[in-house]
Amino acid sequence: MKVCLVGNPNCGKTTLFNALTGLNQKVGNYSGVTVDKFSGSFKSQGQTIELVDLPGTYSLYPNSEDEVVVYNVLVNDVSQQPDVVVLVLNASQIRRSLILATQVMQLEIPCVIAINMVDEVNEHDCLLYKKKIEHYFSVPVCLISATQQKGLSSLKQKLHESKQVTLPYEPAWQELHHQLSDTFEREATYKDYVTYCLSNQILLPKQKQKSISSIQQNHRYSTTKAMSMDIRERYKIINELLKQTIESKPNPKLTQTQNIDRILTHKVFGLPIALVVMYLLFQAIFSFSSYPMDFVEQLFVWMSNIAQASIPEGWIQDLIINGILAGLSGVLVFIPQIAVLFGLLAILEGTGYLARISFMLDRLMRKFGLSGRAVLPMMSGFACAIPAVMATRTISSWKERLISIMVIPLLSCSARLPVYILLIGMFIPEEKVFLFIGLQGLTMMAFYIAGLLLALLIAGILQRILGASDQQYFIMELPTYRFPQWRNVLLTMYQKAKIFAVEAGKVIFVISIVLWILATFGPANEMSLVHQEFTQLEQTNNGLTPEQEKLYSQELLLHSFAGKIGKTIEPVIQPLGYDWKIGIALLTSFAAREVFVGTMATIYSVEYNEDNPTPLQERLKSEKDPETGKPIYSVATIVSLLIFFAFAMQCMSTLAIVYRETKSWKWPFIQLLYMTVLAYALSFAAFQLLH
Amino acid sequence: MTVDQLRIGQKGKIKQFYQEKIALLMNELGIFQGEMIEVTSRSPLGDPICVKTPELFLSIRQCDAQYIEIEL
Repeated sequence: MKVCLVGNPNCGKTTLFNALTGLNQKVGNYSGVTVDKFSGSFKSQGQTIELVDLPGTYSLYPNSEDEVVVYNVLVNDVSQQPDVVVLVLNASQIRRSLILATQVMQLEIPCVIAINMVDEVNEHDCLLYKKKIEHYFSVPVCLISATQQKGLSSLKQKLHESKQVTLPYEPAWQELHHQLSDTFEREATYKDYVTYCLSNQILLPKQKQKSISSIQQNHRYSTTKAMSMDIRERYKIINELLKQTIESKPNPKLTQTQNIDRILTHKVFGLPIALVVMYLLFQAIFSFSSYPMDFVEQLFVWMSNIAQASIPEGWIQDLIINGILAGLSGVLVFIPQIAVLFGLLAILEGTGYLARISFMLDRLMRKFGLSGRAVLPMMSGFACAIPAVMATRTISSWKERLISIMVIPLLSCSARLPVYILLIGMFIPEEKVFLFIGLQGLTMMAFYIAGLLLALLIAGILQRILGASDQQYFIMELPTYRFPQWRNVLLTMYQKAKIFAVEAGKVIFVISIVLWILATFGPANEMSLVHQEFTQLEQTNNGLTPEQEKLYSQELLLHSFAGKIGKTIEPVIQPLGYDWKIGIALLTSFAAREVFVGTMATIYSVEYNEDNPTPLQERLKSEKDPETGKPIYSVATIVSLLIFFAFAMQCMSTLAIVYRETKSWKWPFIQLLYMTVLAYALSFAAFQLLH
Repeated sequence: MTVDQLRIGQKGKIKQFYQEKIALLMNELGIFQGEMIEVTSRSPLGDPICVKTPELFLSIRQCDAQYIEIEL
């Protein structure tokens, strides 16, 4: 049996989904659409029931990409239609919740109603709601509290009792109904009405499109008006039905929320509080995630030691340690940080505070062609651009959404952090300013802020270029404050980390192996010449000095494929202060930033065939230009490199996701172009100025 | 009088919506003609405003709020 969960945003649908499916859930894709499909399963009465959590929406009429899914699954695409729909209602907003519910009931799909959050409304009213709804609509109703896990078994049982609801369809707009019936040569159904209303927004199958276009041409029935009338008529019936249950005393939760808001969105303190929260967020990432990151690194050192001991020396051992294991660790080491940030964001969202941040920042965002809805995607961008770009699906305006997608990669994602740490540590001392703020930390924050400022700047420019968009609205419900559900938070962390691990992970892993191949092998004749030269030297002198060992590795690298590529692009990157070795690292990190540090380690340790105890930073600082004798990693070069990494588009996975979300190669191409030009220009300027 | 003209703490009864799209978005949220609406606060940056109906809180921009006609 296939069951779908349908309901308003903030009605506890996801909590219910998590409560029913536990860990038996997965994230996939709806066919043809880029929205994540959350599906899971549970057992009831011997059957395995497949449960799908549809995105929250206020009505069948979608206002954004993710809401379109609800329409597609329930109305448009027959193959995706569920066997039963569970309509999740919010007990404290029962009338509003019933709008969507009655719409779905009229689609002639078997339904069960679950009135959720009954712990927030007094028992008498809940029972009254249940009785009246059951009686009027002839549909099974149960009272549940997903957070307290109450009523769930009753819900599971009712799934088997669901039957098609025969709600008499009274068309809200008689004239339109007649036209539809005439055109389709049969009595028009509610589905037809809905399809007409959405004919301007959604591409319909050719045949339907033709008939509907003819109605539009001849009669011009306003789709907006048709939708409004539908909803108003519904509400009249709902209001009439629940008239006797109008509570005289106001919902205490509303008063509580208002009191909290008095502080959190306070005229003077509101924004500083938000800034403190955001600062704490980033602090938490750096602190919490360093332990798991160390653990992952230790794990891989341990595994490579085993590999070294158990696998015979040779290129297979080398491939496994320096190619495969290095590649894997390069992916896994980032997961803790990404998971932690998404966990914290999930907590913020679960409490309802995130909506307040969007509310407070909306006016500022507007100046840059964005809106409050872009706040969550942009905050996510500081963890990883991939889920962040996906999160833009809740933005209703296409232009706003596009601008957000185009600038999100400018925000410093977690992949840049190791690069920042490595390079900043090379020229900024560990001193403290103002007693407790570290200079290094301050510099790091400067780069994070620079990314944000540049993102806003580019957004503003894009807004000018793309032109004034058609009227866009920012009308958003501010949910009542509540405690976050830890199960939801943990599952969100898992889901987002998984997106990163799969989407970015596959690129990182492959690139690491490709790099290993390129750096180990070169044109056969050249490589053998180098081997000959140094084996001879070794024999004549009975061993090689450390200097000679270093030279040996250097020559091998120079003549490898990687070296050749690096040398080829050297002239292009010299104005930025880079040499051919940095060139190799830049090339590999163009596919994924995460491999930069690993590549540097490979390039400089490939030169040492023995254990290298010196930390990479020291090694880099000692690197000298063979011609001038001056250190390669001057302050100018380091700053230039930092700036390049801050602003360049070095993530193939992000480009792939942007392609999927914008459904065209044009936008990822433009993104790659503008960010590369931007990074090059700024690095060039930095190097030349500091040189 | 329209909602954007209300001061904080003032409330009114919705008479009509002057824009179809605004009407639709508000209706979807369960806010209809005849409902009471109260302005509870304003964003620290001045815009949008936070309004309260018997069932929920809503964030709405002043330029959109001007299309909601109310009577005190």
